[in-house]
Amino acid sequence: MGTLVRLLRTPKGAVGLILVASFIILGLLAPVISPTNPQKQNISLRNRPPLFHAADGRVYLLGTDELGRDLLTRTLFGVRLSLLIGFCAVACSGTIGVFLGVLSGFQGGVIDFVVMRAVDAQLSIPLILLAMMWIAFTKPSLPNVLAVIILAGWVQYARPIRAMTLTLRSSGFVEAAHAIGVPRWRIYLRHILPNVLPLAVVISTLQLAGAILMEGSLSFLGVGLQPPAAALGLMVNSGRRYIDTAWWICTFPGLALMLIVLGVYFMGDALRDTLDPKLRRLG
Amino acid sequence: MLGYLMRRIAISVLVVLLIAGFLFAMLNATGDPVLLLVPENAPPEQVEAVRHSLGLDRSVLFQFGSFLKRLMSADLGTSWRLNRPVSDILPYYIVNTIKLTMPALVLTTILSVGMGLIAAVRRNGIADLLATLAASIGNSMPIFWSGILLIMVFAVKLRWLPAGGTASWKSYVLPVVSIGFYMAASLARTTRTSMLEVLDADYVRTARSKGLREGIVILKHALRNAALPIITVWGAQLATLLAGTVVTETVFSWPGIGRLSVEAVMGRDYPLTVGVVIFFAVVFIGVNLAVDLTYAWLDPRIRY
Repeated sequence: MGTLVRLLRTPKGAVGLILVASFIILGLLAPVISPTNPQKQNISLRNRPPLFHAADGRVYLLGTDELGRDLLTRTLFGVRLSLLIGFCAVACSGTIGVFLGVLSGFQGGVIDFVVMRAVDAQLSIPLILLAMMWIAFTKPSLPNVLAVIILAGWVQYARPIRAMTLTLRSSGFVEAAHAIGVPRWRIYLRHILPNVLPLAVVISTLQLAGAILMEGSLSFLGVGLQPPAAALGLMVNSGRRYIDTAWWICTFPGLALMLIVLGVYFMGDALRDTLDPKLRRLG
Repeated sequence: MLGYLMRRIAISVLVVLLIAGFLFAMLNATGDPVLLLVPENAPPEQVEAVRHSLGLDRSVLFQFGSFLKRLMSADLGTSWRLNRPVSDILPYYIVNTIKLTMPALVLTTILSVGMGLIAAVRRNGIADLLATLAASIGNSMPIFWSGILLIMVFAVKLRWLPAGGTASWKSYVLPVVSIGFYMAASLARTTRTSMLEVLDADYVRTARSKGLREGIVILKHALRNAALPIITVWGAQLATLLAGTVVTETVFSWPGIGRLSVEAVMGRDYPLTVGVVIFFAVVFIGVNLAVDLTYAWLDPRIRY
């Protein structure tokens, strides 16, 4: 709770927190507050501009897309989807990455070598290429998109967490715990884990933004979620064909994506400064 | 130093082998590529003939062996769709990507280091605020979206610049700006943070107190010491730049290696996919090695 209050005191933290919180609320409430169904088409109302008043008295705040679907509704559901994918991906890749990072740093030896070479190998392929390959060789679907983002994400935790574990391993309190015969698993849980968590939280904010952008790019390239899903990247891509007649179709979903990521970055910056001033250099 | 270099090169080779193995496993784990190549309802004899001609009827181990052997001799096979050797196809696209990324790299480096420097020197001033804000926004914009916005404004509305192609120098402006803006953001942030740290250092105060001009103090005494993190991020940004070409080249219909990779993957052209991925991997690893070696040159305290 104290961290939250301190976050709100910095301008960046306050703006970030408000942005992220509002998008989370919008995403959660999307089925309740949306004017209509995200898949409901109305061919007679295609490509209508923002603030369009229909004959039946309904107002389309952000206009309609190329199939006459309400853009506001689709953007809200897109936000929901982006956040869902982002949080799931971070939770999974964070768990895997922290586990392997701590294991690698603490055990050393063969485990360390294998994990670190896997990290090297993975970091030497651009993430987007890895993702495209994975999806081309499997099938574009939500689980596959999630899987590839998780696969790409764990390395970002493993390396810094391993480095920190190495430092912790040789610190006085861990050696003391060893000396009085505390079992290994207990040293992991009680002495190492709490000390690497702030670092993991800071990496997580960067990763959350990265995962959301990655899903957007994949969907945009056609190897992520498939139509008619209300994914923001997909909406930008389908709006691309109408940029000369209907600018709003790709503008609003992209804007929503940008604001979410901006909020997450702001929050991450503030969080980093609040949790541990020593971590400032990471960014 | 030599020992370190040898060790790094050995590890790099190992990593490339790992990637090759990973690629090979993926290719084998995802169904029968032969069925994608032959027409539907092809007779079994034809399927077998294609399989045999591609060597896909041998044992997996044998296939992996010959796969590695061909990689070693830089023989990347023949593209299934374009029907030309992959090693003949790649150079044209690589050159196009270099033509796009080099101006972007120069632009971003000048822009972001300049922006970061000014922001750090005029800390908490208007320039600092604007630079930090611009960097945050640049960082958050999906690169595919900013590209489309640029096309929308400068190609569709104002009609100043073309939306795609490689016809004239004008075609370079939008993609270069699109990549540049995205890349500049994190580099500017790092420059600022890193400069702020050294500007408080004793040797900077000493340099000032002995009456050196401020320009010399900033550029020679501060920037050189702040360079290490900047170079790290710069190296990482090179990687981002390459990955960014995948999206940017697609948005701007640029015939480079990024768009080629999308086409290879979408068309399930395995030899071409393998060729592109190996190319990216080798460049990535090379850049990382170069960045590490630059450290030693910049900071005499680092000895390997």
